[in-house]
Amino acid sequence: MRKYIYNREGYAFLTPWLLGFILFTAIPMILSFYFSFTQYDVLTPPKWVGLRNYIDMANDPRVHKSLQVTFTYVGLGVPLQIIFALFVAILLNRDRPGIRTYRAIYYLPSLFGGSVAVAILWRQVFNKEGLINQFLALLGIEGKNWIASPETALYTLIVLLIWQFGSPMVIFLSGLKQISKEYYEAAMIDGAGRIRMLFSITLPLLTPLIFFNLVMGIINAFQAFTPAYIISGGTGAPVDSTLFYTLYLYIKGFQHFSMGYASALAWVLLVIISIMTALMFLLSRFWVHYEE
Amino acid sequence: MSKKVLLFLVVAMLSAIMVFSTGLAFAEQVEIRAAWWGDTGRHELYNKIIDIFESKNPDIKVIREPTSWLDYWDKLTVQSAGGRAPDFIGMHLQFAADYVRRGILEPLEPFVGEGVIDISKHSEAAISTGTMDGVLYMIPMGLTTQTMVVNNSILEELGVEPPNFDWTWDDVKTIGLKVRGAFDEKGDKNKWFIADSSGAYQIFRYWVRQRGQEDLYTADGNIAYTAEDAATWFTMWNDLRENNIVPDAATTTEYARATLEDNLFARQRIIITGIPVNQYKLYLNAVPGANLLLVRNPSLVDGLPGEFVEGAHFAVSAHSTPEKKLAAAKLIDFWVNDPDSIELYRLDQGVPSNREMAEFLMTIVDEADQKIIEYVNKTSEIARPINFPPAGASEVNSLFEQIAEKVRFGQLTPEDGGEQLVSQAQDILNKHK
Repeated sequence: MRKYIYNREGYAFLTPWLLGFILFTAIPMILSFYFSFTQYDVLTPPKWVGLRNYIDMANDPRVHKSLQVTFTYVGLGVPLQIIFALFVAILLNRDRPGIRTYRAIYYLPSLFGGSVAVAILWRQVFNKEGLINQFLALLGIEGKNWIASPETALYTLIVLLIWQFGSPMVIFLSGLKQISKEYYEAAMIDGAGRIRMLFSITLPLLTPLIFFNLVMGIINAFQAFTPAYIISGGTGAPVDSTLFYTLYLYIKGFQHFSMGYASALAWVLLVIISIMTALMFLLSRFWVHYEE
Repeated sequence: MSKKVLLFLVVAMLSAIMVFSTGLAFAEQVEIRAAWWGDTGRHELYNKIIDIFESKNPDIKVIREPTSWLDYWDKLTVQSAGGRAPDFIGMHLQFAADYVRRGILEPLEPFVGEGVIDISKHSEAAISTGTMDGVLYMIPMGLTTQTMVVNNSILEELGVEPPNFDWTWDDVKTIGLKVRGAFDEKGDKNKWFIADSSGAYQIFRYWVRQRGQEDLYTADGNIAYTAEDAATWFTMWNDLRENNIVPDAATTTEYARATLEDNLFARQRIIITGIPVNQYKLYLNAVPGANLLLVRNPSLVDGLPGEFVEGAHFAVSAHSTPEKKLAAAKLIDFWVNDPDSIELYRLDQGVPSNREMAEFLMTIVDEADQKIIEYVNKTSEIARPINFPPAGASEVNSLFEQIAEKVRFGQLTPEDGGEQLVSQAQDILNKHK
């Protein structure tokens, strides 16, 4: 009890945040769990239906499609983004004049995130008359409409994710700076080449950061919504090829008045992300080296 | 002790400000929010009309929330879900049922009874379009119908005769082939004759009605068309696409969500597209200098006319305070009945349902507007009645768009598309009953 009184200023200052957490996170989570067992169109009171939403989900072909789309996005996009981030970080890890400007420039795209401007920009780059096709025309190749064709639309979104490699890159940069120069000097004396140094010194020592970026990247990529919403106009077009899981959740909840179903979708997403994260942690003991 | 009390008070105040930081309304002025859809031209016009209303009603302030048609319905659903639907709402028959059946719209009889909204000079047929289950929920913004706008300047350049006013679906193919040939001769690979309307539920509606069905939905809220109606529809459009008379699937998808100023017709890459006739002027502005003709939706040889009179409506949000509802009702009355409004408003949403105002307009409108009034008059002579869409209609609408898209990209045959459409659409309607 004395400890509580001693800390009461702390608790007092915590109150605004705690209030916000309870009102805007904890309570909505509990409510959403409740709604996932109801049929709820948000405007009339919810109707209890038990597990029906979850059963419908298992049989809903658009859920399967959206999982396929989302897993492709995460599985291809996140590793590629991290590889790019690492590559550029290594390149930018030197003390040339003006290096800070380059770092800022490469960081900028990740700030634009899900803005409408980026979506319009992307359309101008990847559509039939866009930049990419103009470039291909110089080589004599007639490109297709990348952003509006079902086979390629998702990949334009993956490219968008990779383009925004700024945040992981900055983290890698700081990690690179922490590697003691002594290791490289010793290796050079032993006659190691640059590639050997990369794979035997840099990468192993960076594995904790690679792991961090991988986990954060996966958690965020599973929840990606804005790029798909803006580029497909909220429909997952063409033909559901950009129907991210969260986009389908939004469509069901806000366009089809099925908020109960959407809540069920949300909780299943939570389970999926948790399983993926737990898997990553389990596997990490095999490849992540923490300095002891 | 007082220091602790002071600390607690400061923290409590900060929390209160954070949590309760919604605006405080001052009792003198009633503030309402008005939402509508349109392009920038319409936004400017409506702002002017509201300005006049505000000057005549200094105790009412109107916050304007315009959006584009495509974003409007998403936004309205989200706002309604949060209990924050705008007080003065633009509404459309396509989606109205969903909003009425969920109690979002306020019944307007009381306002009529008290004389706030005057409908004495409106035709009964017009008022009935805003009535559901015998209750009046919305007032027509204007009466309009669908048309196909033809960029005749391009046709003259190509040396092809424009379609007749009463052209048929067969004509679409015949004239389309001629146009395709002319474009190819000039090397215009990225231009086409007509927009791909295979995913336009409202034009499919014409097809269905021409084939003898009563409408998209029966009077008791079921799907009124057959799988064969849909299969023949998709087959026709596949044929047009294979002959390159309509754009390829990817281009149609890319421009599906484009704004009016940005779409294929405004970019002069297609010659004909379907529009509501009241937007004739907006399209005249989007393609300045071009000679634009108005023709009917293509008809079916030996079929019935598919035409019906429709329009957008004004409604009032049910989740609002009595003062705000009253203010919104006053705005509706001003908009459709006051000559100062009609002088500016003209035919933006169609012919006014207030007969006196319609006559007043004939005296002041220009040639383009007269064309619109003539068109509406001509088609209302052959128009047949409609059935109010049931709850779940918006979901059926998006189902249709998705299936049409799959057929467009060759992922479904027209026959399978038709069957999936009918069975899944009926499932959706059953779910919402």
